[in-house]
Amino acid sequence: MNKVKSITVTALMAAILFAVQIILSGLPNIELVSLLVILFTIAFPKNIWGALAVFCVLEGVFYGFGTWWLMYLYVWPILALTAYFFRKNNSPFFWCVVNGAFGLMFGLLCAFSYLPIGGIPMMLSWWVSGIPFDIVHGISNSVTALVLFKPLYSALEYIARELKK
Amino acid sequence: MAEKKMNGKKTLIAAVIVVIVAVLMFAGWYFTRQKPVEGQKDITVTVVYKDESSDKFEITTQAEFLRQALEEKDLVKGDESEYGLFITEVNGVKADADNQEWWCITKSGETVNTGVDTTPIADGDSFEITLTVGY
Repeated sequence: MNKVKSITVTALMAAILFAVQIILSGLPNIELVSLLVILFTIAFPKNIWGALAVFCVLEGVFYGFGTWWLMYLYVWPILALTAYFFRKNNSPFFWCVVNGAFGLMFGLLCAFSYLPIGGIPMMLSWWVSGIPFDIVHGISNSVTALVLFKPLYSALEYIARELKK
Repeated sequence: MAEKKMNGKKTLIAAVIVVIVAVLMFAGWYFTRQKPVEGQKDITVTVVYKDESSDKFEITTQAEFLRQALEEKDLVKGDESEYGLFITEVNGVKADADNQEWWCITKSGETVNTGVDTTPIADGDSFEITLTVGY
């Protein structure tokens, strides 16, 4: 892929992540950002890091650069790294488990950003109080991956192939 | 084929582990959550404004959670969100979201990690609702 195409793909991926996050923000713990990060990493592994950087900055500009924003700096790269490591696997069931586990662990991962502020007690109490939301997040992530992984994977693989021509 | 079957088996084991973790997490939350207290209770709510002036409200209520107690006194208004009521106005003072203002709830100075809908109250509790600037 040439440089112009690569920059365009990165920008489009960031824009899609941001738009999808905003559009679904009204739904309780139902989101597509996780699944898209997985799919984008599989289809465009070299572009995902730039897209995530732009996405995080856009989130900060839109919602404000607060403590919560710091968690975005490591939560999404962790998921992208996981997806990168298993990128050869294209089983919807496998990604349903990974995406579900990520949703379930989202609160715990985010809770680490409270470690410097209130230590382990604050981190744990923050995490535990949000567990019902994490469970909903895990279930919804599993369902979205099970339903959407295959069609989106096929579409992105096709786009990636065409762009390489 | 055999490798595919093996991968499927590993995924299934991973799925079972995820479900077990979810159950354990739920149990951890369920057994450590703060339970509501029945009966009449007297609580104190201090509203702290941006200029650091404050108003103190003594509330006698049968409510089990903070939201109901605050609404009985018509102290708060807000938007319904996935986490319950998101307070936008306290005692007639609105938080200016464009200026990153929000109402922070603390209990005896300690951060409350639950929303007003799920924060249980007990007799003698003291809450502070502070207009905070910056996320």
